[in-house]
Amino acid sequence: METMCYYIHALTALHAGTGQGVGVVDLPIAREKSTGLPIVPGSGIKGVLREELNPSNAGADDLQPCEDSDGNTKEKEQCWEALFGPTAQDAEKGGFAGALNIQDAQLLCLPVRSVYGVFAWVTCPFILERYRRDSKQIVGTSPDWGMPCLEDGEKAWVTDDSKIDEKEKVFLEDLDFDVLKNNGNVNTLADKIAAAIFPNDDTWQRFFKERFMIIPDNVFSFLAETATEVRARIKLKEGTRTVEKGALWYEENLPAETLLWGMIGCDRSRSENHTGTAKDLMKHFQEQIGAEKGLQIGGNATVGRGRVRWVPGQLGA
Amino acid sequence: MTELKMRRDVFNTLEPSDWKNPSLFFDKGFKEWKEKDGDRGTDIGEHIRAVCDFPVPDIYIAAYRRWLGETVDKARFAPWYGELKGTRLFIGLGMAHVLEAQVCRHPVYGMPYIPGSALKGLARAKAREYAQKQKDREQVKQFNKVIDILFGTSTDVEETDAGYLIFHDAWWIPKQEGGCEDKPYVPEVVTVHAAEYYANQGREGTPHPDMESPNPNQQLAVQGSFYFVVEGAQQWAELGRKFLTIALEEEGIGCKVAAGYGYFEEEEGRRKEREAREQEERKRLADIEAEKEAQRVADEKAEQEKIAAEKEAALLASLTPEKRLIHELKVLLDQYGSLTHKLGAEATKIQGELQGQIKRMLNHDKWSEADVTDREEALKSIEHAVSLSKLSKKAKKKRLNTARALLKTKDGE
Repeated sequence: METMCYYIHALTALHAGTGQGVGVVDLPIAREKSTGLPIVPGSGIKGVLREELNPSNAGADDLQPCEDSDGNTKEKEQCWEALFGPTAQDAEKGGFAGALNIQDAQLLCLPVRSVYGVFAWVTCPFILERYRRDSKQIVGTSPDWGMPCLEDGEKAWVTDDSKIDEKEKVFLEDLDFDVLKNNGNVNTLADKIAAAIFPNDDTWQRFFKERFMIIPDNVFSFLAETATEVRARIKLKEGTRTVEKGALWYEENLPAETLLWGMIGCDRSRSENHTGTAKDLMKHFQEQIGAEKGLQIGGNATVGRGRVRWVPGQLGA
Repeated sequence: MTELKMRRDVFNTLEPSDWKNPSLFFDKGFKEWKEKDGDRGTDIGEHIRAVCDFPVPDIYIAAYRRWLGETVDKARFAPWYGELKGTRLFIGLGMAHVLEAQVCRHPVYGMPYIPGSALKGLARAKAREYAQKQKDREQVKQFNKVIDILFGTSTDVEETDAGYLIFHDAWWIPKQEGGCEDKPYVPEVVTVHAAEYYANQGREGTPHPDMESPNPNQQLAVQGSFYFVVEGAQQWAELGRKFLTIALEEEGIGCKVAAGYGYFEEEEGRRKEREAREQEERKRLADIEAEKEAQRVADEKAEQEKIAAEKEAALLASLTPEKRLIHELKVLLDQYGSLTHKLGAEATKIQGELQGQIKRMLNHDKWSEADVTDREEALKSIEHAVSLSKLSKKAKKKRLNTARALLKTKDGE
């Protein structure tokens, strides 16, 4: 099994929903059962990647599929099928599982409004520990950064270049934190994440490091519940410009600038038409993906939701 | 308590700068009410004015630039730059807010935006209006079908489809990036004049509306310009963009459009730029069409020539050798006859071929077996060809004599 990681950087509000809710929010986002932290389900990401890499509509988001001029379309198609599995119709003739297994994207940093610095990219030790565990899986050895320790209470680590603190305090939404600074681990971590998510972009790497912030798990859990974006939607009656009866609903989104990460495993091909090893297929997949991709993930696409940068993780970084 | 006091102090002394969040300040930074109840309006007004002093955060400018980069592909995105000229925008006014002065603000950057859902609804309504205006009923039906494809089917039918076009949130344009204002928020007062009268729907016994004292409300409005973008395959996106922007110009968006708020105009320079681009695009499409047409005509001609050549070949194959020779000579004579100038390279070339053909005919040794009519015809053609040639009189005569000797009819002349 070959492993890589990927990052999602939301450019607009992202609605990976569950379709129904019982609370105030009619359409909540998907969350992990055990922790309550927001996720983007792997199935949704797989579907999007499958369509994106489909050789028979390669490059064409058009209404008509475009014709491929080079001769190796068939080979490409078989490789694609080996990666993602056959379509439902083809599966009836002889099904097999795709070689890729794309895991849920997990929340890495949540943007939360801050009086200073406009917003902060907030995370917590629990998330970072999981992130490190996943990194270990790729590198095979322990990553070269340690975890900054954090006592409970309203304390927060920021980087040395931080722009979100003032008078040794950070003010988020309704929460104030005492600032802890000068920790090599925090700086290294911020550097690593910045380099992974904004490769070759010094400006945004700097923005990230200035806004990176680690807060206690319990406080983060509260923010993850309450600091997501809730949008009210209405439907107007045609002709009258008044709201149609019962047509007011609330949708929850992950706000723009949310950062997530996830893992992708790749097995050997299980297709009769393709005999790639795990290594071959992973290489093909990475070549097809390229450096980074602009994708649309999640619901409500036609009103602009879910535009993301999908960034393949540098192995070992 | 000290914690709370600290936060109070922060907000009370917050100076506007490009790395602070004006939106969070608006929501949480309101100072305490003054003693006298009547000062409430003044207090809110002061707070709103303080919010309006905030410049655009630098990270928003960076994010805006990145968004422009994301949507730069003209084959996929139809952009439009709208200015609020002499008017302001109220959008999201009805949403809950502690100061009852809500406006649609981005939850992270703190800058105003216009939700894609509002834009989509507006564009759809405009498209529907356009559809209803069609004279022919069949056309209306066709048009509605297109609307369903582009915007999605309405929810009251059983099987719904998602729309094809994507209406993105509109981004507020900072001045550095070509916007018309350097700050997005602006204080506004909405004064209610006869609240009670209208609340009672003018029932008898309600005091005359002029008797009520006006009730000014301090509000936060938006000024400046916005970047709109519709996504989809080029021509469809362009169509969606057209409906959207006509509606933005004619109908306005947000609250209080009836009072003149929320109307957009395209900035002059951008309009010219867009029109130039559209003209170029039309020209490009026209060129492609013309090229296609030229190709079609050429193909057709080639096809006809091919058919003619095949016919000719079939005809030649069916003829006796003598008839074939005569036919070939006649074709050459026709070609020569159709020349407008009997001088020049082409004339010389056909002349050469004519002489060659005459030679071939004179070398043919089976004329004695041919029909009389064929022989007569051959002779006539040769006589004609020789008369057209530029040979000397003597050479002409020699050739004619050879021909006559060879092609003389059985009965003799």
